[in-house]
Amino acid sequence: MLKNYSTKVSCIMFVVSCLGTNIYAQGTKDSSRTNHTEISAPQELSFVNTYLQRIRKNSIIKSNDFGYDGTKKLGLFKNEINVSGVVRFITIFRDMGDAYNDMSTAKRNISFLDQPLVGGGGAAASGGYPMLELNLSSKFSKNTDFNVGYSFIHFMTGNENKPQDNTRYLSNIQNLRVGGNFYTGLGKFAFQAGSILPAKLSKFSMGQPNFRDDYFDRLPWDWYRNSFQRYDEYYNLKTNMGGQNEGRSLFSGVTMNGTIIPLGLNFTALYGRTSYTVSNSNTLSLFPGIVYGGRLEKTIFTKDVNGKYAFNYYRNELDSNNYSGIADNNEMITLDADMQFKGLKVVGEIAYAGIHNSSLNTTKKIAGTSIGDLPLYFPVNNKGLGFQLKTDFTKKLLPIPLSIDMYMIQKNVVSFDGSILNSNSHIRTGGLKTEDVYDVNLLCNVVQEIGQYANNRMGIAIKSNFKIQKLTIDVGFMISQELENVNDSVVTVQHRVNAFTRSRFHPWYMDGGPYNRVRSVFRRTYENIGISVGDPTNKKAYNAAETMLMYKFKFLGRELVLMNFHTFSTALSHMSFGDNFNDNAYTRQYYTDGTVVFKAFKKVTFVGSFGLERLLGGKNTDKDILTGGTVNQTGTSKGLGIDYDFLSTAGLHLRHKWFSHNDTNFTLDKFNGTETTLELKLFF
Amino acid sequence: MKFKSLILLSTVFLSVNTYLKAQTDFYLNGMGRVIMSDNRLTGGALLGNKTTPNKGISGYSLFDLSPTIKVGDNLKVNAILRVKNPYGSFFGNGTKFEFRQFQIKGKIAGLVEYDLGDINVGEGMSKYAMNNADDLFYKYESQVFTQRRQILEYENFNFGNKWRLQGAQVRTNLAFGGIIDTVGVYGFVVRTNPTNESNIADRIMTGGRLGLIKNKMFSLNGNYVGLLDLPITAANTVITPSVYKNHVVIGDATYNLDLGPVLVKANIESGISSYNFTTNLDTIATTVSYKDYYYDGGLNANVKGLKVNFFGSYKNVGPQYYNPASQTRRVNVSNTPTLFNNIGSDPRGMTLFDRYSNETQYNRTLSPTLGSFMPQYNNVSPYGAATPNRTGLTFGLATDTAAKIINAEFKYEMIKEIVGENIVDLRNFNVITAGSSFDLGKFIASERKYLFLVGYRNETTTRDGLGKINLKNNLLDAGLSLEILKKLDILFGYKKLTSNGNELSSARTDLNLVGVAKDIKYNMAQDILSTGVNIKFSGNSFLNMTYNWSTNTTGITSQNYNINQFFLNLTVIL
Repeated sequence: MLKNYSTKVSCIMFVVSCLGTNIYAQGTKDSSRTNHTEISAPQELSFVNTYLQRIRKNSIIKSNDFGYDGTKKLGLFKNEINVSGVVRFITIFRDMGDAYNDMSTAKRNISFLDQPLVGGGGAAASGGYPMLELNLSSKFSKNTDFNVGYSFIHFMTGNENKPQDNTRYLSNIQNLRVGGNFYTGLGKFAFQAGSILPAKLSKFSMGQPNFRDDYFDRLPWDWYRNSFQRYDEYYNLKTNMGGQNEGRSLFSGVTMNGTIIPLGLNFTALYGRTSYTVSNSNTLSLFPGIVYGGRLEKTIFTKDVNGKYAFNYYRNELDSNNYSGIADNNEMITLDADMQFKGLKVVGEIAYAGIHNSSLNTTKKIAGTSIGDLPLYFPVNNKGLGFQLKTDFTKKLLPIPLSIDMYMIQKNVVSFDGSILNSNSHIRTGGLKTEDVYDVNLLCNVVQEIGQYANNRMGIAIKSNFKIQKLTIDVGFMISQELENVNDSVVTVQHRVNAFTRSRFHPWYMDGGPYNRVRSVFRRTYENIGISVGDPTNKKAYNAAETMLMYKFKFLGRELVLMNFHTFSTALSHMSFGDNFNDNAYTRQYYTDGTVVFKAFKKVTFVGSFGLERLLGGKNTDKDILTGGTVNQTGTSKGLGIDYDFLSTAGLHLRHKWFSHNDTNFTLDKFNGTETTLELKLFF
Repeated sequence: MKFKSLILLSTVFLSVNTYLKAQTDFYLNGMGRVIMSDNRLTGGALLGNKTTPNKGISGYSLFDLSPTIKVGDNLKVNAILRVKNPYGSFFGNGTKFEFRQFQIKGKIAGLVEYDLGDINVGEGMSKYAMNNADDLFYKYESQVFTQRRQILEYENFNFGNKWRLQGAQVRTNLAFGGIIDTVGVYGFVVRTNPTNESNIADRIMTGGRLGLIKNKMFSLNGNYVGLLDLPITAANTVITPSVYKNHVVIGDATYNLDLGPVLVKANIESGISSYNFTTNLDTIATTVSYKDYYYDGGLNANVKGLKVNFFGSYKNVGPQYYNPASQTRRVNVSNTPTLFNNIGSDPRGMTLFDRYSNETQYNRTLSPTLGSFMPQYNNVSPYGAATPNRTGLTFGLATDTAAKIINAEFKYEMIKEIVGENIVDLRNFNVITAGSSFDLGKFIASERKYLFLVGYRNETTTRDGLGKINLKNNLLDAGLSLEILKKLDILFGYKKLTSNGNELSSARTDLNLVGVAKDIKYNMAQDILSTGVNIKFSGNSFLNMTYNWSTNTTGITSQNYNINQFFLNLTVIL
């Protein structure tokens, strides 16, 4: 009996209490402090009633104002919380005629993510951006703050019956961080912890390279509310949108920024991981991988010079695995400066760096040691030096502004988080176990853009810009040469035309395409052109020239911006002027794009675009087995688009592109089709 | 099924109630925490072992967002939505979302408060009725350890001695005045285990506390806890479901007498338990029933001039006094540590360091049987105050709370078993507990805190006869907290646990019976040395960075190992 009795009583009490609440909730309010003590007396009171009323009066539970315990606040109210975010609905429809046979998706593909869904789920890891990024933040006291983001991804699979299709996905992609400030007589210290903390030390150590993208494709992180302003600022201010975090690394961990007042030093310290520290498969395991570093910066301000110089330290500390203790890391110490003199600006950095890992050619066998039957190798340190010096002459000193950028960077100067493109295969993104086909940062003998740096390289880049009435002209030249001929098997070139379109064929794979030469990384692709007859006695040279023409005028009373970019780049077996223009060059690449932007109405902007890329392999590069010819590629793009800013914080962006690619000798290397992109973007 | 209907009905009424009133306001609470640890495993146990993971970095970032919504005038709804990222993951890889808590709180007629959902059960109840006890002595430990322990307590909902369970609870205090003064009523009903609709029944726990009299001199209270299976909810009648029921009824009273220079406080409590369990193990229904009792009485004399309490008590907890609500262990020693969980192919056992660093080492559910324990941590009271089969005397002295600069206590326990375990001979336990804290900052009237702590516990277990036992455990704590800059503390902490001798340990069977004893030899020492800094931002928000050296030493070199850990914790509480 007892077993049921207790339960019955409990449940009945529970129901009665709920009923009581329900009934009482309809009655007079009683939760305010004043109401609690003002209990009206019945007209006729017996002794019992008086007694009961007194008990009730004395027993009443004193209530605080909502959100308070006495005078102490229990939380944050609405006006203390910032709610912001972005709604970004994107759909990309691609319809192809010829296509690569290893594409992750079909020729005809509709996607609701920037990167097509690979293998189900994991949109975030595949580079997708959420449909809704909802952000809550607050600086809720003088010294503390938080920022948390909720990322809602919708795959729009249309199949509600199959949970495994993961049609909706709640994640956290950008913000999950907290912070605190600490002040002493010594200085100010601001701590931030969590992810993602965009972090920067110096250009070499931690500061991502900048790439030039055409201005037709929209970027996921495009922050402009006014569509035309994006092009207008590019014309007027030369502001290339660049990467999402403006050259900063995606960092997860703890950062400390502050000032040491007695020394007048600003500092930054980092402890955590970047997106390149460990491979994706090791992210969730107890893997020994960490990045730490710091920057001490001193500001100079005198009548002759102002600027800053800084000391930087960066270390990517990894083990090959979590049991052997074999190191697989690299580090860098640098000194950088940014000084402004009268009419002259000097920016430079000098670095001393090292790789400390266990690949066979960087280790030596120690006699008498072994793991089982295997001899034990101990790491041998590999060090290197690098420097970069950029001098900008203004019109005060020269008739036209001139920028001269010189650099020399040895092969062991590596930081995946820095701006130096890596051509050293003795270090791998996420550790040595990362295979070549998944290493997004290995670019052997890369032909870089002007303004970019690569290791095992010395070079000079000269840039200038001038204006003829409304026509602005930017020109640039670069010559560079490797310091050692360590790899004579491939040259890596970047495909400039249809960069985003190509990157979606087989995302994150470095062995793609019909000839296994295409390397697809985030929003761009590279291609490895094989060298058939190398020249190990010589040092390869990499040259480039480019020009950017921009013109703005009124057409039919409306603003119109024209943009035209040309670049020609080569990879040679040795330094030579003449070989830039003949078949002796390993590769010759010419790329041009043009963009027409017309602000037809206050809220409507039309965009037109074309692009052309020619890539020619030299006589000493791989030949097709059937045709016997070398790489001879032509890529084109033509596009039309419209931006409609229907709100001051929202816009609709339509793009349609015709694209093609064809190699006359490697006949399987061809694709063509159309791609339509519709993007709805709303900021709040 | 009729009880399900009642519960369903309750939910409907609550939903209606919630809907009737429009949302009028809300506020947000929350906690953000980022933890990172860099760990190394070394020592003799790894000699010749080339494949055991011995190095690793781990951690996480989490944010618990906790909106409290006011619905009408009488109802508040609170939830905690957790988002958690593993350390070093990017682009949402490994992100987890979790509804960590859902609560409804309200009042009826301004007199009765109720909570529904995830509730902390046991407020004000006797430790023999409801207790979530930690068997480790840590009262005088360093702040460096306290901050680690607080993470585990938060993650496992260990709020004082209450248990985090799911159900409903109500409370009220009726002020009658006069001699009775106040009558307090507290009641709860929770489900501790759901049915599988086949052969496992719903398990419901209900109980409460009735404070009959509560005035300045005297209080008289009653407690009840019942844990019951509801076999009628099981749909499959082919297999006879197990049926569990346990009732505990307790009365307790206190009496305060102010004699001027001395304030005397007497307390006494006693209770009975009734345990009945029918199980279908091996398809044969077996029923086990026990009834037993306990009593515990003591005196405390507060000498006001000295600011010292002298206390003594005597207790007798019957060998078959069972109450899962007060005897379930907070620590689950059977769980394998998540950090370096194996050495070779052998699971690594729990160490003192794991108790401070492993969030999964803790129980969140009530256990109907007495759980396994490690005698080296606490052999006399592994199940808290209500550990069964214990009788004896406790006495000592301690400073009272009015002492601001020095706090100290000394306690001696002489406890023995009431019946022998697997043998007629009885274990004897002698425990000395002592500790002190000294706040130098207050002593020199500084605004800053300079705190020194030391604690010590010595426990001896002996038994003569055929099953001879001789086990000596020692636990030493030393701590230092120096606020060298305003809001910046240098922390130092040391713990040492030693255990030597032998113990014949018996695990409990499914029927809560004493199992076969296993003779285990102890020759171990575990040390933790921790040092670091703590930076206070504001309120309860801080950054804590420590380095921890821990050792596990046995008499056998090949079983010795060390875990060294750098630990970083940045916590922000709204």
